[in-house]
Amino acid sequence: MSVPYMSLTYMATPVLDRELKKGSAELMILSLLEYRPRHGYEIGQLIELRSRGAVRFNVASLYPLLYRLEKRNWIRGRWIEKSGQRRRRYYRLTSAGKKMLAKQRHGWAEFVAAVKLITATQHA
Amino acid sequence: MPDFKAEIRARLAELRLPPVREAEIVEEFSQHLTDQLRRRSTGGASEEEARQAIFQDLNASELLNRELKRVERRAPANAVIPGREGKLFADLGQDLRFGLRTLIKNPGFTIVAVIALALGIGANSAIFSVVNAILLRPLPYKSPDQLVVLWENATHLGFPKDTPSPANFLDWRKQSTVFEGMAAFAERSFNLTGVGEPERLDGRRVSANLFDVLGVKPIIGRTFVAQEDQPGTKVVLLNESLWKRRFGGDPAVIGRAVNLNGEPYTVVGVLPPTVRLPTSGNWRDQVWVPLAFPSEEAASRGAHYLEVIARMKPAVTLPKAQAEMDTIAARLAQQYPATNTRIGAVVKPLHEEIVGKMKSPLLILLGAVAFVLLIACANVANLLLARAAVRQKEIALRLALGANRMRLTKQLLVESVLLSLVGGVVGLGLAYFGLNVLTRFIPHDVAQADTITIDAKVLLFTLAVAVITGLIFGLVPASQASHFNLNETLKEGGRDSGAGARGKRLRNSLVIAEVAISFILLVGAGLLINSFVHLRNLDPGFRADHLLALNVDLSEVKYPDTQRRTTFFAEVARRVQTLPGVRSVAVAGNLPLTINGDS
Repeated sequence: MSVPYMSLTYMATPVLDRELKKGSAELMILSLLEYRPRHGYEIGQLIELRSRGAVRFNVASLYPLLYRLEKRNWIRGRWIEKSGQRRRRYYRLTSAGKKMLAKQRHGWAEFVAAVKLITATQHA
Repeated sequence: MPDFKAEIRARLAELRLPPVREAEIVEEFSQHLTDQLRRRSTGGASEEEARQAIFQDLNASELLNRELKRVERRAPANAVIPGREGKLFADLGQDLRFGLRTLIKNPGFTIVAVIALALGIGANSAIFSVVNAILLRPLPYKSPDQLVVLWENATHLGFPKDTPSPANFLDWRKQSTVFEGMAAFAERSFNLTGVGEPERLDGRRVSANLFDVLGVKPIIGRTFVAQEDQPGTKVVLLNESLWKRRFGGDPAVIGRAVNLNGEPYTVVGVLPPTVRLPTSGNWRDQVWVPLAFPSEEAASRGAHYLEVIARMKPAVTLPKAQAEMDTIAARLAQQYPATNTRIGAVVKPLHEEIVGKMKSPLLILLGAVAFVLLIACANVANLLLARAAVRQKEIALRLALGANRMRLTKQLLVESVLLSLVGGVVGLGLAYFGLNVLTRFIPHDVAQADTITIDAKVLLFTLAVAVITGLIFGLVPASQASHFNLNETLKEGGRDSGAGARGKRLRNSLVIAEVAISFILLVGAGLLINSFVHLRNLDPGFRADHLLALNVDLSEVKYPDTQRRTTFFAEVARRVQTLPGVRSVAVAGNLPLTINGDS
């Protein structure tokens, strides 16, 4: 049985869901790490909050994705122990990750613009 | 709070991730789920609802495993350090190299451990060298197991092993059937003159067949023949050292006449240095002449001064030889009641006669140094345990890299055996120098004492001791080091784990064992010193201080009868008495306490 990679509350079909996740999940994570390191739970929370609950990552999909990005050397995880807190693994963007973020952001913008053009034509 | 770690670990099991990676993922996931639970609870959900929601997420284990499988690598089936699986010697080479690097990186630890081991192993090697030479090395004769020593049994007179008289020896030889040959010898000293400085030589009168019985071959020339065992025959055998020292090792010495006790003796052969006759007297014979009993001496049953060796026939056992000698002695007791009543015969293995009295003290000494080695083992094991506490992080990392615990234990054992082998090499050096000192304390007349050396057997013994020692002191720390909680150890605060507590208990036990063994040694040494002090304080019945002794042998040619000898010694005593500082002078056949039963 296939379990959703992440849930998009308003998406209509699983196929579209899957295709969209491929293009968007990596971009979302890289974007959230652009200015400061964050731990996995914080990343999941921020995605859910900023999408106003529309996008929610499953724990079983968020972390494998983080590990994959780390393996590609786009992000780097490191255990950090702050005083009075338990240690947590914080992920930060690497320079390769920054380049990839810029590339994906550009690609995503083109994609959205294209979709807009199509949907605008339909309404024209 | 649900045990998320156990749940996650169970779900990850089939992935067989490297332990440290698994520990990281488990920790990260469990933190995430704990945070989720807290958030859901504060959001108004009951704990049960929150828990169910979280486990629903977590139960996406198929997704979890599938996704992780894409990213994560499996742990290798074996091997701490890269190496071909199943190749013992390839692993061994790696372990040795790694062990060597570890030892070099910790010079302080290595030096202390090597010194402790070197002292323990060196002491064992040195004492074993002595045991090897005296107890284990076969006597330098042909088939030494067949050689026996024959004594008269005069227990009723206080001499259970008395030196036989010439007539009894000759009867034994004539009547016995169990021996291939029987020979006798008696001490005799000689004055060598005519070749440079006169010199007093230790020697023996021997039966002509003695060297055939022993199976000794001469270096040059020949041994005695039966015809030479007659009074008036003046032939002599030299030992190798005398031949080299006084005759320059010249082979032409054969047939040459040398002057002994004022009489010319013809040299017929030179014997190897290994020829040492078993006797209670001096071992360093330099010359041998035929026994050649005059008829009066051959008939004597009252003078007991011979030592007799015989070689048993191949099929003959000691009890059989003893039984026959009992029969012969009983027969002689009937024939010569005046001298032989209640005089029996005793047959003893030659080896036992030569080394028997040294066996117990040497084995006790070997036991004592074994205890010293055990103390060294306990010391080094303690050091290793202390170091294992420091090395927990390193060991955890290696486990995390894929080592299984057996493999790690093996690696740690190789490291300790390597340490022990280095200790063994240094110990051999100590043993070599120690033997030079040790041999000075071994009595002069102990058989084969001058053959004590570090030979192949000692090297093998040292190697075995080093390996066993390494295993002994390495096994406990190695097994202890690989039994700790990997996750806890990898955390910053994970040092004081259960293994640490076990380590402390082990270290305490080792210290207790060390103190106990030391106490045994201390008591033993104390008793030994006490006995020595008692011996020193024993009253021999005379004042031994300010006494000097001098051995004098008179030429039988110049002093053939008792009258002339008595006159000579009386004159010596008179003249010595007049020397300044001399209070009194005495002449004796033997010095007090030097010959059993004769003082």
